[in-house]
Amino acid sequence: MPDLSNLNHFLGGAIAAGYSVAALFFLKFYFRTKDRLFVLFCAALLILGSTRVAMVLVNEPTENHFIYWLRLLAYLIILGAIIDKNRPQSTVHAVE
Amino acid sequence: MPRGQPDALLNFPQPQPVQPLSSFPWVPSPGQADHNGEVMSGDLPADLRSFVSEHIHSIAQLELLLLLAGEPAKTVSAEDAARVFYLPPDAARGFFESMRATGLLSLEPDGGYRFAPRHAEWVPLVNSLAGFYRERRLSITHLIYSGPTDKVQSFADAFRLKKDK
Amino acid sequence: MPEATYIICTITSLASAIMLWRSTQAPRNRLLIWGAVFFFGMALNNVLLFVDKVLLPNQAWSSVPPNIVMLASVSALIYGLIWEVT
Repeated sequence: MPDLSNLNHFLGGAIAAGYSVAALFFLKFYFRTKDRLFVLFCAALLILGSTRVAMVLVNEPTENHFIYWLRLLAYLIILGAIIDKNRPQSTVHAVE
Repeated sequence: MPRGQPDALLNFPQPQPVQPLSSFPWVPSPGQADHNGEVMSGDLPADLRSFVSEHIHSIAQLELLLLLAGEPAKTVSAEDAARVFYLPPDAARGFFESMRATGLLSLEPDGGYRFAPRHAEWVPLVNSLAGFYRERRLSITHLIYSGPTDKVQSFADAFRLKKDK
Repeated sequence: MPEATYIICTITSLASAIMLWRSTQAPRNRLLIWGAVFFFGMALNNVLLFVDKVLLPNQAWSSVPPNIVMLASVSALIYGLIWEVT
């Protein structure tokens, strides 16, 4: 039986690295298209990544912690980005 | 508009002179904010709109396509097209290559490009596009530049519940 | 309250996935497909996390499936980002 705590930390680290790479892509998309959705997604992914880092640094296995609020914050940012996208306003597309 | 004698080989049809804006009935009055989209190009046929959003990404490219489509038997080299339209030759070649990749043009052995659409139903589409471009240039322009310009923007647009295509 | 947030997270991920998936119909855009896969995986991850933290607390092994699902999802997203955009 492998050491499960190490396994979970390993997976969490890989996930955090993945989030960071995706966040960088979204940041680049934001500079390319000036679309607010991308910078909000970038922020949400970075926050999710930070929760993974926090889970390693804080040895408590319970979720009644600020980690849990950070996760909720990230998802609320995603929801906010979707709502913001659907607000009635003239959308700006990047014109070549 | 090319000044002087155009190359006899190309026989480029002169576009209509641009009419003053006031004579266009569909120019929206100031104060019509985002209605522009529907007024300008919302009533163009759906298959034309999807064709343009998939194949045509700039006015220059459209003009090149219409040039070739007007004379389907002729092949035109990128250098000649660049000369007539005052484009850099690389740009003309780039437009030709991208249209070849989507199946609108074919590359002939002599290095020139010919209008040879991969699907036969595109021929009447391009003809109607030419007609619309002659008579409703603003609508076509708006159609070209208001669609999703690339995959990235369409990723963001996917999150709009109400899509205006 | 913790249970409610899992529901919020799942609904958010599922909504994003469905929106992206609907847009892949016309025209075909591979980046959207990978994005939809990512958000579907995220929704599944939230469901598995709910099972892990609420239904089966204090079991180390039950954290492994959600982590694996999330790793696969974010890898799919990165794959799509790299191949479809660069």
